[in-house]
Amino acid sequence: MNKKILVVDDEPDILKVITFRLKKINCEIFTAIDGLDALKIAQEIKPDIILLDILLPNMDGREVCLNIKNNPELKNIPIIFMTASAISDTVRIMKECFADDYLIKPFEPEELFEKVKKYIG
Amino acid sequence: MRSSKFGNIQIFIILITAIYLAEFFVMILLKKLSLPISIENFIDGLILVILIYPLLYLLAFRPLMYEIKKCKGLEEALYTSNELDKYLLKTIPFGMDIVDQYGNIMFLNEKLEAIFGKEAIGKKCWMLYKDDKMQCVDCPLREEIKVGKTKTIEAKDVLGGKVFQINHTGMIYQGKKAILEVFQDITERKLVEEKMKEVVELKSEFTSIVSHELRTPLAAIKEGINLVIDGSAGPINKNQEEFLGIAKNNIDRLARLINDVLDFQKLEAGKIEFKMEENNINDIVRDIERQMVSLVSKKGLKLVVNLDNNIPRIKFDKDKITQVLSNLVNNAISFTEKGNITITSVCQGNNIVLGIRDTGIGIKKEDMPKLFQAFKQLISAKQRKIGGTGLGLAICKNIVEAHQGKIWVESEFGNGSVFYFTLPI
Repeated sequence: MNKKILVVDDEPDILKVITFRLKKINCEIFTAIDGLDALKIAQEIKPDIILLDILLPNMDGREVCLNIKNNPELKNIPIIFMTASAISDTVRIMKECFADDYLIKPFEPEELFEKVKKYIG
Repeated sequence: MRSSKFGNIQIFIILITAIYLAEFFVMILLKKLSLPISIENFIDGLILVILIYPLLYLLAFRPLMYEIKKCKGLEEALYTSNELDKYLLKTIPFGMDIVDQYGNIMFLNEKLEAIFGKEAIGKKCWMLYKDDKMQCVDCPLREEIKVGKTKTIEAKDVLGGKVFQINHTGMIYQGKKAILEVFQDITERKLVEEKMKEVVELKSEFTSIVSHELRTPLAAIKEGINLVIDGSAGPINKNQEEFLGIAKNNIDRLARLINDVLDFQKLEAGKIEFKMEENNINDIVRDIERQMVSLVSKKGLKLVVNLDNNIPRIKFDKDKITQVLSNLVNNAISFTEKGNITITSVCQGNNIVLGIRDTGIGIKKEDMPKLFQAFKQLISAKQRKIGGTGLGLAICKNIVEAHQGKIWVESEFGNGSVFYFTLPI
């Protein structure tokens, strides 16, 4: 069965290019453009990994992450923060929210594949 | 200055007079006792007086004179000190008062008296000065008064919303434990400080928002171009690949610039937390060597590493020092066309000194001061299209200085450069 990846970003352009890139690795891709949407989809489809932007409308990435990590059913889903913030801030937020990893925009395709593969094999 | 004129001659005259007076009294005594005033008795009396007097002089008279002299000295000192205190109290530009252990005012200087009048005496100091008429939370009177000890507090909402710095010194006044309070109006200083803090915060917030907003579209552009360049979106020809390559390189450059600006700004604002952990700096150099070796050999250069194996493990931020080293080595590679890049580590006194030597173009003497300043990229760098941001060395300097180290360069134009930095042991 194909792995399910949930990509969350409020920038449709970013969603489009990342989705296009990730299709290369035979997986099923779901997208969300705000925090509430992301949480809803996560509960519905139980993805194998979530790529999560931090600054999101309605519910920000931090809250989405904490919600997922506090949900016994979902807490094992690896979450990679995908943000344009500074590395030091991102690392801090990642630890505060118990996220698993981060990618700083703009990132290289190799970085993206490397991190995704690390968590879903 | 008054001085005592009680010399030795005077003491001698007094002594002789005293001896004769004593003899005179002996004679009267003999007469009163109806003893015969014979020459023997007179001589006996005289011998007795002569024997007793030196003893008396030594045991009583001299110590007495000494005490008198000392008292006179003290009196003079007190007089001088009182004069000084008087002028000091008058001239000092601060309000001053003395309060007893319950906070009751015992004394005010002229500056305070002009505001509150003499009737302030006996009132509690906080009833007089504080807008809310409440004793300060950190008032030193809440503890026991320690004579000679000074405690400084900042009190808000004093005399109508002002901020005062109050120095409290424990003392003895009129035989009681008391506190001398010196008031300094720091309202304006506090306002300026607050404004400065706001500006720094705003600048830092502004930079991080702008960086974030710049990086987001950059990420979409970069990934879009990447997808075309690597053929994911279909085949492209050589020319298309070349020009998209140029676009991609410049996106990377822009991303580096944004990272550097953000880094630099955070370092300047002291917003970066350093993870100080014990490490061996030689391990960091070896990591850099591994990372750089292919880049160096691609350019036909040689990377030489010369490490002092006896240097101790020290505390530093591994990521940040790696950033400094990698920056310096990258610079060395960029400015060197042939020869070697040499990294050395050595222990010197209380410091570990790291050196990055190259055989490149070197630096002109007049350019040296500009080197570590932000955005002062040298023309030589621009001509060579190095593509740096002009922030690398300023960031290095900030990081090294945050570790209490120093960074400097030794170079001769045309003959290569050596960048050094130290880390304290």
